[in-house]
Amino acid sequence: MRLTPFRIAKMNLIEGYHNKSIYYSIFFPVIFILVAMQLKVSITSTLVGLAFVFGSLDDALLSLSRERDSGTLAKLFLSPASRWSITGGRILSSILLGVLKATLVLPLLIFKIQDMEVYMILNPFNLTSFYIISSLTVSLTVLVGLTFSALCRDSRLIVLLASSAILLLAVPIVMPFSQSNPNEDKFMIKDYNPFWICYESFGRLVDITSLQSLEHESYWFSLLFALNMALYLIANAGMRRKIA
Amino acid sequence: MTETVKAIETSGLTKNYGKVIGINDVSFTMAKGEILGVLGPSGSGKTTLIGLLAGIIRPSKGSASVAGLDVSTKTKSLSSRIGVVSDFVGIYDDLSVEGNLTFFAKIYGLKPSAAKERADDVISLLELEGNRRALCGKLPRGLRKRVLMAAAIVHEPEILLFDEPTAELDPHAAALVRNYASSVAHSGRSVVWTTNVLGEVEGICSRMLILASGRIVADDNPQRFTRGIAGSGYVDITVSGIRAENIADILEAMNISWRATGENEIRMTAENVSEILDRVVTSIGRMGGSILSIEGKNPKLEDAYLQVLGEVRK
Repeated sequence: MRLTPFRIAKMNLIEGYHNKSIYYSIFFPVIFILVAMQLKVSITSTLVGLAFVFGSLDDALLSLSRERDSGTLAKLFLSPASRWSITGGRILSSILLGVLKATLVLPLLIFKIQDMEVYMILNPFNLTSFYIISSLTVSLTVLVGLTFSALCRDSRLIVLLASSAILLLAVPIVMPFSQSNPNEDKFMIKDYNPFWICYESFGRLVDITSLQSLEHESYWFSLLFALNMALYLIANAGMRRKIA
Repeated sequence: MTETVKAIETSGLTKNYGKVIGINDVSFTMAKGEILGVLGPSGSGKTTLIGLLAGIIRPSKGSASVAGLDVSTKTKSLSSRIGVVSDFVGIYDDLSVEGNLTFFAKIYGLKPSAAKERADDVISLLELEGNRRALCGKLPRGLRKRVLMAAAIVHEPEILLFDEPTAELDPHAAALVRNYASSVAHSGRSVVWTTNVLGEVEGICSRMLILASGRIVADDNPQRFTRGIAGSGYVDITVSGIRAENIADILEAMNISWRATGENEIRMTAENVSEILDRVVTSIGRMGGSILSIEGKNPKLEDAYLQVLGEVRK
């Protein structure tokens, strides 16, 4: 079994621990939701999704450009580690952190919180789904950042472009075509926004008004997974250019 | 008959960064067991050459093979056979010295126990024992450079590509690295060593290239190059008690060329005057003469190097 992606993932986590960025990554989603509770903001599925998106910004925007600037990315490229392993290791560490974040956020969502539109029915299927959606949301955010990191050379440009892309795609206020659809049967581009799919999927779990099984959502899961894979491929393809 | 694979072979190697020339039409071969010094002013293409040989920069034209592998197509096979120290490679600042070395050893395919053992070896070799558990980001630049060196050799590569490896090192650490390079060459492995320290090239390199504006302007053994460009060294000796002609007899017996520059003065010319001077002084003493003054000049690589670069600029 090739252990390189796991070794790179472990390295990323140790590095995050030493430079303290791991604490932001792990605790931001919980703090985000707790603050929303204090402010009596309605905890919708979008807000839960945003907590995971914002909690992954450090990995998405800075990790790869930081690694390139320090020369460790070139060092990895000079080793027998493949590009797939290098990018895969980075995603893997983000997913592991995503699972940790989900574990911390979960207790807040299990029970209905006063005045909050949150309720999560606790059963194995919903729990598994919650972890999968959390991980996919995190990996999606990180992959958007990695894709820009792979395609651009300048660190500042990477941060600008990747944060703009995440902002446009993930934040409902600026999300294109985010208005509700008056005609449910009509094709809407927003339905194919991967972040929107994440929020919708969270909605099936935590929005009291739309509590229903995710069993019929396999199409969306597949689409989300495919989008993650597509970004992974683009990030890999662009990675070499950064050095050469 | 067995075919000898050259350590490095380049042909018409060219790298352009847009309109800026990195290196231009560089062709050379390098045998196994050789230490090849690469000299050149800043911007002459030394680091680009290292990047191209490491396969991390793609050539615009031409080809290069390292350990018999094409650097453009066989990068993965090449990676475990080369070790690179350069500004473009780094180590993890937030990891300890030992953590970095063990990690990179494992990435190069060593099993955990072997990786630990090998990390211990290079820590000992580069005298990093006292900083084994220190975070690399907290180390002074010189020590950090030593860790970078250790990370480059932790997988025991057969070809070392060292880009100014002793820059920022203290004299003791620089000597450690030079000794290591010499021992590597003695074991039949090869080293490309770019530097601006001419003494290093004279001291350890069996051959040197001089790059200027991306082109090779000299390719020779350092001592032969120096003699060829700066000429042979000379010593002026002034004696008393005996005449210059008497010294001439001694010098002719030793096959040393000479000419009288005064009644008691003589200039002798030789490829390496310092080696023969002791014998000359002893012989003068035996003849009853005494030496009033000795002034000599050995040819210096620096003189030859600056002369060549000056001619290129013209």
